[in-house]
Amino acid sequence: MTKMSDINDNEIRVIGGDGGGGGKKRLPWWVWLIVGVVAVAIAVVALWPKQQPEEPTAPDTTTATEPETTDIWHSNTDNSLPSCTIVTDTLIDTLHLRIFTPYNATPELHIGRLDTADTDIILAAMAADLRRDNGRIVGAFVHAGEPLSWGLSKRGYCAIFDGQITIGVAENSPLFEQATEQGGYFFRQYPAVDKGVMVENNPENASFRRALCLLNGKVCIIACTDRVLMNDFSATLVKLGVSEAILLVGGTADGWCRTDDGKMIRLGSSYAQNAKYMNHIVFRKQ
Amino acid sequence: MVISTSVDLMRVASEDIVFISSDGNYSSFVFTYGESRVVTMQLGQVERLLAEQLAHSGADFIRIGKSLIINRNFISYINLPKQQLVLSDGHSSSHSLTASKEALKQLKELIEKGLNK
Repeated sequence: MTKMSDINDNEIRVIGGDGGGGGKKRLPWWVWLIVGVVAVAIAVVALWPKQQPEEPTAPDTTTATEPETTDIWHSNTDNSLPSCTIVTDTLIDTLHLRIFTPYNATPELHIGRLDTADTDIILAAMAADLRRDNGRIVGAFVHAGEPLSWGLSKRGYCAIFDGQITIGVAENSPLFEQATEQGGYFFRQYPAVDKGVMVENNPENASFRRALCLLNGKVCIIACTDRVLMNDFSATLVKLGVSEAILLVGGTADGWCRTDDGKMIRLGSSYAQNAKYMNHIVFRKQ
Repeated sequence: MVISTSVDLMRVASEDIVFISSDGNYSSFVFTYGESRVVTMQLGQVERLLAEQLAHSGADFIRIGKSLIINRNFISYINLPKQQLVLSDGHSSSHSLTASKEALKQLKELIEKGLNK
């Protein structure tokens, strides 16, 4: 195969053509001549010591498609509880956190408006971000096996198969493809905690933050009731003991839960959003 | 064109490909008839296959940045301030994509010049 040169996001390249003037300008022939002479000189110098015996090296077993992480799947079951969300409050340093832990529920992603009167839903929160200009989903997104959005904009991911959920951080996750093949769900968001270590993100304004987390082996959504910077929120999750976390849509984004006595508790206050690709992570009664 | 990986093979008419986008080690093909398909192949590998298998019509495809290959025949709208690129077949299929302003500016100039058409 011919070697394709690298490309950055500010370039275009006509495939199979000579570039059509849209890509990089051609370098003059004498530049290539100098580059060639220098390359030959470097090659001669580099090969000279190779006459000495080399120590054997371990074979490279990595492949381009090897996943970066080993995913662990979770579902919260407790036979002493009905299908419900247990809400607990805690204070870490000065930050008040509210922890929503769904029990005996099936997770899925939902596209479009959610019916707040649907009592089968015990926990719902907006999942992937939407673009402000065209309302489309940011980053890769698979809904019931159907890919609705592509692209790597955020390294955090959540995947759902057969009622089980996993959260992780990776640029390359085979779960996107697996979700399309097996009718699963997949979305991307900002990573917050990876293997118990805080993941730094570019600073943003202080806001009400919300994250999908693994805390003590249980899947939960943790929200803060004060405005806080993204990195400060992530650091607080680590102090709480969260092992994996990705952010969810924060601010006043829509969301609610139902407790064991059927009481409905809101996570956000914006209920009027009606974008075509508005999406939630939803936990339904089993 | 034919795209073959270790686990599957896809045979498709190049004129049916609207665009190909990347998600890490995967590439998603979006077709005029509304379907899409994900293959385990990096976008750079797809680009090489396009160049090798489509000797003449390969020039219909344009790599835009790290994560997108488009079929130039479906370009219907470019908006630089909004960084918006719309690909459409004129009736049934329309896709709004985003790219950097600089890349879209180069694409706009390329189309205006009408080279390699």
